[in-house]
Amino acid sequence: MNDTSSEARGSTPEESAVVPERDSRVAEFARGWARVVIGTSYVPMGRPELWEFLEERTERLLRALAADSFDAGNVNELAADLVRVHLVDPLALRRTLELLGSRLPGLARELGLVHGDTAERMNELLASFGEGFAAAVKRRVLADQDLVQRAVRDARDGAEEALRASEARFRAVFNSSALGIAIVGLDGLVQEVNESMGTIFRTDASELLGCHVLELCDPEYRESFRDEQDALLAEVYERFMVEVPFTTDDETLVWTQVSGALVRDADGEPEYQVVLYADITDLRLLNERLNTQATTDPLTGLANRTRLNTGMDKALAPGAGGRRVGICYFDLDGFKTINDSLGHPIGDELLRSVALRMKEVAEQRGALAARMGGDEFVLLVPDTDGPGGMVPLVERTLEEVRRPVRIGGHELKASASAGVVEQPVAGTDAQLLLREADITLYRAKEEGKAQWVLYDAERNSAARRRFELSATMPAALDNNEFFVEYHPVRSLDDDHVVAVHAEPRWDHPDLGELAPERFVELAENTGMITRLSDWLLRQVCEHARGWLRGLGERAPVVAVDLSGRYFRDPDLVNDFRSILADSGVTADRLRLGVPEDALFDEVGDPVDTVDIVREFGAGLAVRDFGSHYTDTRRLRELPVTSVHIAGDYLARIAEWPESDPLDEHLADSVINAARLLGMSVVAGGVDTRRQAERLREKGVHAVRGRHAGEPFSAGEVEQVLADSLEGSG
Amino acid sequence: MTDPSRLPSDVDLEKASAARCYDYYLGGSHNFEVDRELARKVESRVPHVKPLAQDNRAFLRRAVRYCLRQGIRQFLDIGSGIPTVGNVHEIAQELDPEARVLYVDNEPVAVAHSRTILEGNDRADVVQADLAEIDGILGSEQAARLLDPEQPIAVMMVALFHFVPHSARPAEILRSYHEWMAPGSFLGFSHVTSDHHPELLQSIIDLYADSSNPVTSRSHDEIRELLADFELVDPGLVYVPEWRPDTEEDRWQDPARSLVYGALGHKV
Ligand SMILES: C[S@@+](CC[C@H](N)C(=O)[O-])C[C@H]1O[C@@H](n2cnc3c(N)ncnc32)[C@H](O)[C@@H]1O
Repeated sequence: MNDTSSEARGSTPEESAVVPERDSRVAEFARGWARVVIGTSYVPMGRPELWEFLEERTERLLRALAADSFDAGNVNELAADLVRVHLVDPLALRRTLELLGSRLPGLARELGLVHGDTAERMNELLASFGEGFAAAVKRRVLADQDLVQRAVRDARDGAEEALRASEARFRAVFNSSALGIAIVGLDGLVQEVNESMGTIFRTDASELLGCHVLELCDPEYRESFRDEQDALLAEVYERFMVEVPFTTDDETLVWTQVSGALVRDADGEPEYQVVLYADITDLRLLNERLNTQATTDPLTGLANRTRLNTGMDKALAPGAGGRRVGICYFDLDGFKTINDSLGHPIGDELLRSVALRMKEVAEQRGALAARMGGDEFVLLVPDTDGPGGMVPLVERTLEEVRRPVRIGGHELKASASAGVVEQPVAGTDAQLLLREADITLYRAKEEGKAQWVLYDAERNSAARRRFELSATMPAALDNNEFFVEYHPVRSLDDDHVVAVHAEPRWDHPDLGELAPERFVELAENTGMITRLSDWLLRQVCEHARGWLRGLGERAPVVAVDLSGRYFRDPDLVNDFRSILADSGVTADRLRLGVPEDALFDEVGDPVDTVDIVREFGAGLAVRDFGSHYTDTRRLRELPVTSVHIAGDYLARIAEWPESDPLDEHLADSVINAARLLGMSVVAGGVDTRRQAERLREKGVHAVRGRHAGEPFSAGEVEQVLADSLEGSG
Repeated sequence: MTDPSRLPSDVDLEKASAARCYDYYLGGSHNFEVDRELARKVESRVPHVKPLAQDNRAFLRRAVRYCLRQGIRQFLDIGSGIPTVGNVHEIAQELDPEARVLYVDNEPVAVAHSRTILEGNDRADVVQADLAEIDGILGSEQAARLLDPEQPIAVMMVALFHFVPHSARPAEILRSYHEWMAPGSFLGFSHVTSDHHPELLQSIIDLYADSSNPVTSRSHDEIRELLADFELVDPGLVYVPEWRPDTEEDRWQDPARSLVYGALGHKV
């Protein structure tokens, strides 16, 4: 195969000159020849090329047969040509000799090349051919074998070379690696180490030789290390990886990441281990720091939600003997007011001190204190033994919170409310627990703050419904589920409708139409009251503008009740200003109903908004006048134009002369007080003519209630006014 | 002490090698007694194994020549084996001495052999690599010297993929080569099958099981699927005697007895 087939097929120029034209019988003979040798070995040419090749050989054989003197060398060569094109199989030779012996003389005769007897010449020819072929095959086999032997030698040398190179490479890696590398026997003894091992273990590398790998790790980690290694040696794993600490002689703590692999000998038997050491001390410190950062509340240093969750997962893992768990949800009372009045830095300081105290209490009891955000905290108590056990912890914490805190000249007295849940871990989960504790806290706040309340399934679910109602309020406002309804206020002097009283209502998709009693207080608790009141004022002004446009001066004054919390909100002023500006309605069309106590601050001074509302020119009405038994005298100073009175006693005086004298007295005194203050009196809840008459006698100016007329929508106001005139007329 | 992962592949003469058995079937003498022993066993079960191997080799020749006629002047012959007779560089350089050929085989003796043969030929060389080490092959110094990835090329993978088990993800390997090949390139491909003569192929599979190269048979559909990225030159994927035979006489009475499917893929 060293020579190409084209070379082998080549024929010398003189030869072609002798037989210029190829006879078709020669071609025919060559095809037959090709047919018998093809398939005995691979010949690297297509059949037509082989035909051509054999035609040439046939012609040369014919010439040799016909030549005057026999040239054995020539026939030898010719046979060798066959071997050169890779006709090498003995079968090819046999078939060729048979073919030549039986058909070549006939062909030569047909072509007129020979005439006499060719037997002797044929014998010579076939013998030379066979001899030439055999010699060529032998040469070829020897050459090929030599070649393949050499190839094997080369390949082996190459393999050894590669082995040497690979060892050299490994040496280089071994010596220069920043990783510590140890060669460890199957007995666990260190046989060889690189320099980095010494650096990692803060010693001279040679010191490590002969010691056991387990000695390179602190005792409490040895067992798990050994397990890994045993698994490797038992060929359970291909490699192992552990992170273990090592304390050096001078008490330095080194963390190492150790990975080991087994090396086998040529028969696949384990021979030794290669163990790699990476110094991960810094990495671990960094990780720990990041971890702490990620699980600590930055303001107070308490656990954050993330760490609380991890703690809950652990505390909630099922354990032997039915584990229980306790959760306390705390919330500072009135924290917003402190923040608003004294500023955030003081508020933050307060949170920090409270958190510190909680943490101390918690740690004494093996509980985890976490800050949920804002002024909300959670204590997680794992493995409790019943709700009773929670009580001392909770009371202690509330006590600690109540202890005064000195912050920059202020002495602050905080208090907190708490919701407590204590349950078996089975059947609950972290989400559920926290939610229940939160609802329980909500109940504690509802029930009057500065106290704790224990989880109670039934009460919680009622509280949850309220809670849910308040939670859906923002979306309900966005979805226009609220609307305003008006109640006529009828004068008892001339029976005319003198004003209308606006009332928000909620068309709840599931619960039906809700009166303000169902949601106003909730809104006050959640702070939604600001948005709700805003919305109410806007609606009312919008309607009032419409009425002014349609009715002019006949348009009624609108009374709107504001919640105390809203009224004290400093933002009210701005909101009010912009609402008026937007609607173009003047404030004197409005009368704002405010609870009596909302008009004064803690020390009894009128709140700022009173003056401002007066400046705007809106009328102020005191709601629930007389129900607080406050010092009514102080109302004198205020721009209050009317008072609203309501209550069951007002209904009962209708039964006069059989009525209770106490009710009569109450009614008289409240009404008289108002008249003495120079305010008009409006009574609510007046349903009958009889009741109205009694109140008129006592000096009430106007009434609301069924007697005054049914509630109506903004669009119906004209009709209501017209009916009222007609009725009186 | 040696790095365990860097041990070079063994030169194991205790085991028969596919390359040297194949050489024996072609009539070569680049083989050893172990190889001949296996080859003779195969011959006793599949008496026409020699013509069968020769026909596969003939398919390689016809495919290379076809590519040459299409103007291809560079060849990457993977699983080239012992350079016995009718090697790609001989076929190609006969027509155009400037044609360039890179051989790849993972068998060290075959590679050493090729290296000897190619001494002094500066337009052909050999890389020892596994077919799957495509980056190593194409990133080799030899490839950089001989092959121009911008030009169409003929990649020959003849009688190779039946040595690639399913676990080696043959489809992914082929996809990587396809991606690398310039548009207009060809892929010469042949593969044994048990579609029509399962008993014949089974004896080959059994006998080769203990050799260095166990055999995986694939059906016509499976092979077509492997070549899915390529358009197949007429007549498509057929038994090798049927693939553009030189003369009518070259056809087999029962082509399925060749046990080998061949195809020439074209990347358009
Ligand atoms: C039967 S020979 C084919 C030779 C040539 N391609 C032909 O068909 O005439 C198969 C060759 O593929 C090689 N081989 C097998 N698996 C291989 C792989 N994964 N990578 C590279 N070569 C491989 C073998 O060493 C052998 O030399």
